[in-house]
Amino acid sequence: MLIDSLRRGAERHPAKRAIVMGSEELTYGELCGLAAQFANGLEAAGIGSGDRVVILLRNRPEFVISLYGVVGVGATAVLLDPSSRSHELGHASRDCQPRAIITDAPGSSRWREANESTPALDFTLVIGGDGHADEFWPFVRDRPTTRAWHAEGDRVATFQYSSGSTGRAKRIGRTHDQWLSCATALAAAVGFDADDVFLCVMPLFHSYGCEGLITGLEAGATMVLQEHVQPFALNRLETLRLARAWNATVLQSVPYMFDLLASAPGSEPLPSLRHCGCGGVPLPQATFRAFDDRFGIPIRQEYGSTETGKMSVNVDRDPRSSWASVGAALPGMELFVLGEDGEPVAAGTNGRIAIRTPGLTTDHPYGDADDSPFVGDLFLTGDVGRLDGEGRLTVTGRTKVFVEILGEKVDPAEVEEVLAEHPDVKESVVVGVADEGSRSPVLKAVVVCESPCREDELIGFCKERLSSFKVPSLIEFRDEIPRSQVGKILRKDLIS
Amino acid sequence: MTDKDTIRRFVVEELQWTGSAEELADDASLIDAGVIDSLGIVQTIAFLESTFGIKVRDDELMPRNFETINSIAAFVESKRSS
Repeated sequence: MLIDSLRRGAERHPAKRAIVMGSEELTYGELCGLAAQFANGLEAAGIGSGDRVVILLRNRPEFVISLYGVVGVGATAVLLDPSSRSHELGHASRDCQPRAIITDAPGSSRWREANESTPALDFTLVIGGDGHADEFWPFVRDRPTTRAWHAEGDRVATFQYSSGSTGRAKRIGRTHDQWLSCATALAAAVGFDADDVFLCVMPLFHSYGCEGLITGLEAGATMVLQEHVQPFALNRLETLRLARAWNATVLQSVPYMFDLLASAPGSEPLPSLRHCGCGGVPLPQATFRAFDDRFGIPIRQEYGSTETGKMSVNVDRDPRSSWASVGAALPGMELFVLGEDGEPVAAGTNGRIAIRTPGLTTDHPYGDADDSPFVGDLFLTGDVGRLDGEGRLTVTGRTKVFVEILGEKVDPAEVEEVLAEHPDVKESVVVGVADEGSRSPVLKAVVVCESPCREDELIGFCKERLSSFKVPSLIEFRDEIPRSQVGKILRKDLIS
Repeated sequence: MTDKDTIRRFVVEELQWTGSAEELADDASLIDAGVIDSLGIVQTIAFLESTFGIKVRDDELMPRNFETINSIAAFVESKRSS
């Protein structure tokens, strides 16, 4: 059970810091007691086993207390992005039919706005701020700090919505056992233990940040939460200050944040950091170099997904040679690269990445459709890559974004690579769009320029280098490529 | 149009402010409220540099320079007079 992490911590090192944020500190003993008080409160309010409870919060101690309290009564924590718009909250509400919500004042008014036409939830708890009185701490106070915890490992602990970078966001449920199998495998591979200090800058509602939290607490480490992270360009100095102040040993983040850290003003080193894990999107070499040049720390890629949890991490002895690899499968998991026929390809050959893992979700909306990523006991991650002779994986792109043009399959990455060779092009994203003039989709390149450029010039450039069906018919110039919070390109926002 | 009004119009039209220009007070929180997110800060810097002819340095990327319309206007003024 997830709560066992806190119980074990409370038994072994009750006075050790579990969670830190600003001037607030909770030891393992205190955190376990608070989770029990919270759980006892939920039960008294009639919320329990099988119920869905929305947690709509930024990173803060109350998030952690709520999460462990909710899952500790056998309920499911529905982890939503606190900056969700009303229509996204409405979708989640209709989709998972929650009975309760734990949120803050802004979250509460956005939730009510999104659910105007539905009855109020049975239980609402609002953390104070913005003129709103606090309900959280009065709620937990004076309750017993122990309880008989829910004990079914195969109960769904969390619902999260996958990033939806292609198509509508899908609800993914994962059990206590699935979360913990990944947490223990990751800790074993990297060597996380109670001496570690995790600096948590990734949002806890998202699978990457949530996994870091669960992994760290299971290992008995100290979790330092940064109060304000976004926009990171304004808050990166605080991240560096926290890393030094708390002697952080672990930082898990995404390339765009590592870029901003590498270019932050100042020159003090970060001697305590021993594991800088990078996930979400493939790590660019320029980012690896910039961070290594600045701090002397080789970033190590980690590979995971909402559906599977962590699958691999680069724990190579020579990360500066193998920086492009996301590592070999974690203990207890198996990675495959499959050809068109569904059979594993030879080492060094590109194909579709698949995983067999005890961390795989068994609660998801994918049916038996032809395009389901669940094939037997394997999960197709939607990425393309190759394995080397030692089972180390390199991720080279996405599968789902092949575009069919006039019956031919076009890999947008190939066209994007050609456009990148043009001196005026900074970056581009190639998508298929419907065209009134023809029955088949046409290729559109959305281009961000270094210096002014013309559509016919770029199309001519592509014509010289690509077969005709791979040449974009349309060029759309933009200032910026739209990206999600973790840096994923929002392709669906480009198809119009 | 004053600097503050110019900044206000930018925030209303380009950033994550869902109300009207009248509802956006000079001291309304822009960062805490998520009005300036990661994409927004890039747009804001581009806007300030092109509109006010200033160059924003890396070490000036501090929350206090972007908290509110008042903060941004004060930041612009300090850059102009230096």
